Amino acid sequence: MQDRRAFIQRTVAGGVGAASLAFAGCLGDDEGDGDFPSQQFHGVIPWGQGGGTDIFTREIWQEIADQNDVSIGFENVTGAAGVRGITELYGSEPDGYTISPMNSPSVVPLLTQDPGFTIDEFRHIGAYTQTVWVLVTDPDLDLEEFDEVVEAYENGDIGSISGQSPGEPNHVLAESLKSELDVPWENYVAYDGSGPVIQAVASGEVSAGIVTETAAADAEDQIDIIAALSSEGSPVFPDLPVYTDYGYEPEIDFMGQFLRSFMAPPDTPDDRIDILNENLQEALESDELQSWADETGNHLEYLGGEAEVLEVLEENQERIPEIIDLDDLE
Amino acid sequence: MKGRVTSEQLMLVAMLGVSSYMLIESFSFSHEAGIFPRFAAAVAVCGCILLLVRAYLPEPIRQVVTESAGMFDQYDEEFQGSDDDTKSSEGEVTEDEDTGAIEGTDRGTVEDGDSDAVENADIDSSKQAILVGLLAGYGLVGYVIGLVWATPLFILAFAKAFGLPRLMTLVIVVIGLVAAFAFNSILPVNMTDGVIF
Amino acid sequence: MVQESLFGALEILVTWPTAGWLLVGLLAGIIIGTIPGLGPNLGLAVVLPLTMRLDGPDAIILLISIYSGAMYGGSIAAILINTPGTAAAAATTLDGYPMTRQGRAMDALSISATASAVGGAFAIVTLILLTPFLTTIVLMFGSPEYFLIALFGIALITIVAQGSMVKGLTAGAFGLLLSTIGFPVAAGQPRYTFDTFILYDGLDFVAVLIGIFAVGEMIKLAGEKGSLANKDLSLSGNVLSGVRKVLSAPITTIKSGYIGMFIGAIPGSGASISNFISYAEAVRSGGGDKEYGDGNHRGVIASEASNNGTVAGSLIPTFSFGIPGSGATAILLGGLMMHGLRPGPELFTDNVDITYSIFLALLAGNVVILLFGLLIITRAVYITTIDTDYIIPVVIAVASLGAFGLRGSWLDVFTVLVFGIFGFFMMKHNYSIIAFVLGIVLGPIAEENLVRSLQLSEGSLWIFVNEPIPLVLTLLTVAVIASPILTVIRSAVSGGDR
Repeated sequence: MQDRRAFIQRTVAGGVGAASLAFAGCLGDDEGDGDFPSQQFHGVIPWGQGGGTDIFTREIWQEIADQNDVSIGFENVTGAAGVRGITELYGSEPDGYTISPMNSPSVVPLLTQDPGFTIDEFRHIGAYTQTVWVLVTDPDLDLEEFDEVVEAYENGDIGSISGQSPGEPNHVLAESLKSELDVPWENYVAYDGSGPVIQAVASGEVSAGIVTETAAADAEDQIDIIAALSSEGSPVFPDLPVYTDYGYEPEIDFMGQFLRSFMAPPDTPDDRIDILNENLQEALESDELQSWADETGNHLEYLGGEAEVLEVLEENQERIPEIIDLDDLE
Repeated sequence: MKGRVTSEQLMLVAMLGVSSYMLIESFSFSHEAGIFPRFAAAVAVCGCILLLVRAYLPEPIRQVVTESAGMFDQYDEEFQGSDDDTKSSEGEVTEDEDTGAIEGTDRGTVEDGDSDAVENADIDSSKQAILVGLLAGYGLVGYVIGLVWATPLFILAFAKAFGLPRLMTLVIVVIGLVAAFAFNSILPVNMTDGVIF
Repeated sequence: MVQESLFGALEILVTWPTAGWLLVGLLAGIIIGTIPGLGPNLGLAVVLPLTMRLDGPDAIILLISIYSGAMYGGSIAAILINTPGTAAAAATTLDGYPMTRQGRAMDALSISATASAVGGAFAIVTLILLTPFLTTIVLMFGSPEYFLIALFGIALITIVAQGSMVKGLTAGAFGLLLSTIGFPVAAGQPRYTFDTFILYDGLDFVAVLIGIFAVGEMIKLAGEKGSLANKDLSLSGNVLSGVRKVLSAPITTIKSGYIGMFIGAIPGSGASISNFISYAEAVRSGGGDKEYGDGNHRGVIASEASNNGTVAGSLIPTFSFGIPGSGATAILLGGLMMHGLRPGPELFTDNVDITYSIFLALLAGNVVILLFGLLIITRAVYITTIDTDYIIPVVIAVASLGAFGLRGSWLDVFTVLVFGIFGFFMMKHNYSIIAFVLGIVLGPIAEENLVRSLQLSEGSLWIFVNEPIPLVLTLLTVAVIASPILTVIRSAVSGGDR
């Protein structure tokens, strides 16, 4: 009874559209491993509706569900910088039907809030895109090159740099610019999202800011985009210089781009993870998703399975505490 | 009646407790994180203390504490029904209220007497107390077995306590159940499960 | 150029099924807004995934119509049962509900519909006229300005808190204090969370508002007999008299619409704040009018005209920089992005057709609100003749369920219940609820922007007076604070002479 109730609940969470399909799923309850996936998927999204991660997850998993002729219900379990939703996934049935998106910088709240598990306990299905951070400046400053910006900080012509809350990736990046690349900015100013950072930079309230490439693209006319903070460059701005062009070692790449991936609860069996991984690859190559990506200016590409994702997550887990003092965030 | 603790004093003590805790705790934060709560907590603590001891304050200070300075009284007209209200809605007479209240050395008693009188006339405060109890029960039972199942129980208990006729009880229980299931199915959260069951 | 785009926009709007989605969205919004706890945020969140299969403009128009409809819908329960359907209608309870108690619910409902439509329409027309300059205007306001605007709102506590200044300030400070629970954006360190993540995001002020207004009032009603409308009063008022009242207060209506628009354009604020600021301003400009809080129709106008004006205002930062002014616009932003409409200058140049069609949809929506509100909603007054004993348990149940629906967190359910009890005692002992609410809704904006301003100025307060806009805002705030304090001092000095 308990399970059935929970099951119906999840069905309904998927919205009216999914409801009718789910009833079919309810009847076909026989569950041999041969026909996985044959039931409804349940997407636990630890971030709010309408955000980038939410939209990616819904688009991609709707496609995966469609390919398998099953339905999917999504639930946004928001709060505590994503930890609430990740905790919910942690406690979910490891049957391969419950999945969540994961972004590599989210290891920070997991480290500071210490919910009693670590990210490497989860099963990782695969990565679907990465987002590169770029350095932007106030256009009135007439700074064009990364080394000019560094010089302006050194001379004290400018002092501030902006990003999101302490612990967010652009804050960690700002700190690593200082500690790894010796960019001597003076004060870090925190804003509530990429949009406000761009507004502050465009209006000259702060001299520089660190935002995602997609956010920068939306405001190209109002800000100067200086450099990509990943040595691999920005897919959105292929011609944009990268920081390593100026003689720096690729010391901040682990933060300069973040990996977006999907994961399943710990102990989800290997064969199911493999199937989901194949499904993900197939979906990412599908015409539906590729044309959606083109239309909306997003980039979708399969970037590796569990091994690759874990490598990135573990590097983040290791390096971030070296850059910022996690105790300050607790 | 004399010396009885009023519900206002209880509320102020509760606010004082919360504010004091938050004030003390704020010193463990970094400067940036602590300054704002510290300021707010300090004002709240001072305000609560002033209001708690206002009966014992010397006249000029007491007057500042109780003086009416804003431009309108919210709610009091319809709320307090007669006594207090007539005074403050006439605005300029507020001072009477203060003086009158304080003159009886134990201001609490006078005020309490006033509001009791009002309550006896218009308001059945025992029913209010019952409802507060039911609210606590609703929250706890909901927490244990899930809000969807706790809702009809709460409405039933309310109907019993307030002596509602059977037919109407049935009607509102059904309305509550329908609302509960509708919320549960429309919203992306699970309301059928409590923390324990 | 503008004309051409407007025509293009009109074409998008009047084609089927776009016009249908407009209507569906509005009606759904009104219903969602009416039910306590189901604000525009939840409504939009539920509908957003369903719009995935719609065309871009259809989806956005559906979403924005829900938003606009909910803003109006929130007033219905606020007026009838003192339960703001949405946080944006909380100030509507202050005068709307007393009108109901006096048997003037019909009046209040028609005032609300008319004020919503007129205030909203003025704001949108202004928005359309301002479209080419929006980006520039947004850039004029930064952290110091946002802080000063929030501070001005907090200073209004001294005006709206009556009975006792100390009571008002204490309530306001307590509200500010409670708003600091959780993880602050600018200062970056969780506070008062007891190391649990249930408190990590702080108290949800929507839950606080539902508790204070709805549950608090229900506890109060439990001690009374009879129906909502005092039994010895017959139901009076009619649809047209409400319309006339709004038309006879054009300044309040238009000013409130603009206040709503202005406040709505501040990131992180939204209609839950604008309705209080607008209400407080109406009280302030109304001089010593004692009727506020006691069924003054201008109070309803101020609150309702402003929250629909906020819809237009909140689109300004959303469209120009992708900054959501509120929870609802955050989801709207998601809707835009889902359909490949990225916020930024393009929305005012290449895609201006779509932008204008969204604005026109809002304008058309206000006409629908007016008609629907006057012709259909006003019939809901019969609810006020029902014995309150039947209403109380249902309202409490719906409020608690809605609170749980906010985030699926038990914290919100307990918030509703605890603050219901707290609100009851605050009312009972004449502590200004509006002061408390101003504190709790403005606290985070004030703090975030204060901390940031001081980071920018490296600790100097000079940043709040060194430019014309901050200077004016500072002076306004000082004036607001000074006047009642002077009154208190004067009367304290003159003793019992009065």
